Amino acid sequence: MTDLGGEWIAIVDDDEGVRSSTQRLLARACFRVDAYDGGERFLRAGASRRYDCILLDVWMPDLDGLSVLRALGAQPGPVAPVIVLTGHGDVALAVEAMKLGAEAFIEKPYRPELLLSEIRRAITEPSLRMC
Amino acid sequence: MQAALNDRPLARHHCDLKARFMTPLERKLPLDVRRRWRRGFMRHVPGNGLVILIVCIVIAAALFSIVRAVQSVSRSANAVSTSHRVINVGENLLSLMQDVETGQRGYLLTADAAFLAPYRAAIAKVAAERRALGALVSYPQQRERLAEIEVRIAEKLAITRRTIELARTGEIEAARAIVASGAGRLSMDRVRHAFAAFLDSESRLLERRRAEMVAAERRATVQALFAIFLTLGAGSLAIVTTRRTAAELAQRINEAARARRRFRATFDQAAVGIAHLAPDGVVLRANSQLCEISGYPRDRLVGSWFESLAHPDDVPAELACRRALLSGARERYHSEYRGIRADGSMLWMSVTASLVRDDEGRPDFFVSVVKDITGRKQTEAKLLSGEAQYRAIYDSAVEAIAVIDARGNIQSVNPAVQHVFGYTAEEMIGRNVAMLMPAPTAHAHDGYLDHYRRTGERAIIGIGREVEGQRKDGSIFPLDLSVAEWRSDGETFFTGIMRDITARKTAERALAEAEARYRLTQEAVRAGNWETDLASFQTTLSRESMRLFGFSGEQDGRFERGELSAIADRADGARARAQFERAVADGRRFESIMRIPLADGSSRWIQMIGQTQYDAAGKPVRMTGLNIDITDRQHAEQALRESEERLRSLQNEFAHLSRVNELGELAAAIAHEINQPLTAITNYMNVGHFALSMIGKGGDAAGPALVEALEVTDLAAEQAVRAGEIVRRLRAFVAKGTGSRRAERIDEIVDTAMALSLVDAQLAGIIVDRHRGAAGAMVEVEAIQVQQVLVNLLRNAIDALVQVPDSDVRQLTITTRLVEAGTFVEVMVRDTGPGILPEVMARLFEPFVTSKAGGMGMGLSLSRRLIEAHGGAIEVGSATGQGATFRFTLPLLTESLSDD
Repeated sequence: MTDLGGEWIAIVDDDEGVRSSTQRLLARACFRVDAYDGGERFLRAGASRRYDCILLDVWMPDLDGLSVLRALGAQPGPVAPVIVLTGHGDVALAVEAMKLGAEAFIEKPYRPELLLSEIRRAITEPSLRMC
Repeated sequence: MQAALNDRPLARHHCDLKARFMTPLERKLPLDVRRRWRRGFMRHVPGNGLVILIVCIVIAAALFSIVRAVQSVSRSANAVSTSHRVINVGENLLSLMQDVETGQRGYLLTADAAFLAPYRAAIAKVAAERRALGALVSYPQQRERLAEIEVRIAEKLAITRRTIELARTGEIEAARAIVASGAGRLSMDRVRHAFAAFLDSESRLLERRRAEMVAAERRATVQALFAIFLTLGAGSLAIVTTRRTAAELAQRINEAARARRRFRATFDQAAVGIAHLAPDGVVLRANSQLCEISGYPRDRLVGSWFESLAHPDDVPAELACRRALLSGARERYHSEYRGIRADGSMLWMSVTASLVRDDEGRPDFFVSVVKDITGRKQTEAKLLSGEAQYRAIYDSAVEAIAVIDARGNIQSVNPAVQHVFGYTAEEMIGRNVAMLMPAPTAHAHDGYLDHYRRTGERAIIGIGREVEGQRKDGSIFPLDLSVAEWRSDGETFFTGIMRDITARKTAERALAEAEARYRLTQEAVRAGNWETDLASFQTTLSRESMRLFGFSGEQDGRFERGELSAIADRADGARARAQFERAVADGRRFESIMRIPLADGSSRWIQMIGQTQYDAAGKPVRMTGLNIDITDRQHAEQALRESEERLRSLQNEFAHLSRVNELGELAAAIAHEINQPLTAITNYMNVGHFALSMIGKGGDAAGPALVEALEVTDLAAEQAVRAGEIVRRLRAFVAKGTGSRRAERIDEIVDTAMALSLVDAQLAGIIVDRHRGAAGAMVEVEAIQVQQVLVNLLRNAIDALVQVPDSDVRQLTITTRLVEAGTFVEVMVRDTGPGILPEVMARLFEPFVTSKAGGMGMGLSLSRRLIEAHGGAIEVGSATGQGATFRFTLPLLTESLSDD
């Protein structure tokens, strides 16, 4: 296990259960976590650059994950790696998210270890996403 | 009548008013002449007016032509005067130029500066005169010549100026050389030539203008003379015309006066009463005979209303007659009516009136001729009174009354005879009365009369009998006949009074037939009578009733209390007894159905119905009624019930299949919904696992790790419950219906359906509005089926709304409310989607009609069947582009609202 700790993670999900459980899980894994209950609120906070990794739900009522990805892509400067989370195992959606610059794509429900390893990989090997 | 006349001040007032607006001359004239005078004058006004108008026009035209002529003379005079001035100024200018020339020569020859003074003065004046000439000349050719003059003057002045300048600067020789060259003279000659041409031409112009002026003057004179003559002529015409009018008028007045004198003589000496009335009914004149008839002096009659002579009851008739004359509907009228004399006695008057109209056809006055017919009327009245009474009865009787003589010939018939037999009076009078009878009686009738004459034995006379009559059309009908005998002048007559009794006979026959039919009907419908005596409680059954209860034989049956119900099925019999006793106690209709077991093992179903009968004191004495065999109906009803049962079960099955199908469509949304709690659960469990796994590895203390593990376990459990709830709703939805209905709260059904259908609505950005307008309302339904309808409508709405562009509002409104005076609950689902295409709209509830790519088109047709099976209705409203609104109703359980 790579030695990591203290990185800032943002979790953007409209579902209260998912949001707080993930927050708890990541805190347990020694990350610092901010939770946002919607894409719009996340963008309005204007803090996307502060994070080392962003966990983004696709289906949200106000602004969906793909729109958030597009908005982040339009911002100047480097963007933190984004991991897209969704309940729908939709390949087309995954491809779309990757095209928009997502680092990884995880289907809910996921194994917590998979999520943590994806986060770690995204933080330590961000170049992979350029391939 | 005195009073009546005094009560009419209006009439006098009316006359006063007219008089007030007359000229003194008019007042001297008698009334009718005055009217003619005014009308005569008025008639000439249009003619006079025309003459005056023409005279005015002629004078105006003459004045206008004079003005025009004077203007023309004035214009010519102006032109002549201008020409004079042009010539004057021109000659003056030429003379100035010669002064310039002279001044220059003098100076050059003498070199004496004294010559320069007149030269300079002339130069100064030349400029002023040139401007004056320029302003005067307007004739185009003269302007050209003036331009020529200007050029020449300029040339001349230039040469002159140069020579003088040279002389002044001491080069006198050079100056003289110029003069010697003859340039100055040549230039001066050109100036003179130009002036000569200009002045010559202007003189010719002057001559022409003078000639024009003279001509204009001549024309003006002629026109003025003509106008004066014309005016004089027109004036004379006007005077002559007016004079003739006056002469005619005078003649008319004379004629009128003569006619008046002639008329006066006949009017006053007539043997009948005569009155002249103004169109409004005021008496203008009355002769002495009328005064005598009415008993009023002439000065009381004149000026009062004519109708005040009439009896109050007859006034409207008199007024109506006069109105008819005024309107032109009639030429004259004659009427007889009652009047009242001055002494108050009654008077019968014969009044003949006609309307005299003036030359233009306007009503002028009425002439009413009045005769006293009081004596004649009194005699007539006496004659009439006896006959009239008899006539009145005879004519108006419903009975046909005919009088025959001793030989049987008809003497007279009343109108009813004509009506009853169809003959006219002319066809009957004089013929034998046998014509009104059918053949056998007709032939025998003479014999009957003969028999009576010889023997005096009465068969009908004074007794009356029912006989047959024959109408003109040959039809035979029953008659009630009574005959009276009477004598007049030694001859015997018989009066027959006949009444057509067809209607009575028909009714009697109808009653007999109805009774027969009733008997037949009882047999045909297998119904029989029964009757229960309420004192002894003995029941009597008719023959048919006996058969129904399974007895054979041809006799009526009698049963003691309780015997009859014992024949029926036990339970049915007991119920029938209770119902019978309640009906007797309440005075209500009795009705009961019972099964009778028959000997062959089969059953017969009998419906008993009955009604209590009361005596005069209102005490119930018996109950009578019918027994009806309803075995067939009972069997049919049972078959129907079974068939309905099968149908319902099929429908249930189909609804279930449809729900399973619906579930497939919902699958994706539901998967998402369940994945959320599953994700949360895994997260929490992992946290718990990690916390526990660290215990003993030296990292965390056991206490806090356990606390965290407990905490996340609770949180995970919560999420698991949430997932379970979703699954439970799903299971309920796809469960097979029980087919039974229960009282359910409509809001609960709607909420459950919404929870199931709207799982992904929020994600799609749909705003869901829920209005509750029927709080606590209950319906008796199979909840799952109503939910199914709602899920179908809500999923349709969501499918429609996701087609709406993101920028537009995606709104879904679900409303429950009471309708139809609180007897039904309505559920409305409205979306702001693209609406329904008109071609789909009409067939929307038919099976296999769909606008969805993957849809079966079963949802709405099934929804309609489910709602209609619950006694409700479903309908849709939509306009393309404005969303769709689905409404369905369900009957409200009446007691439901009071529960809350």
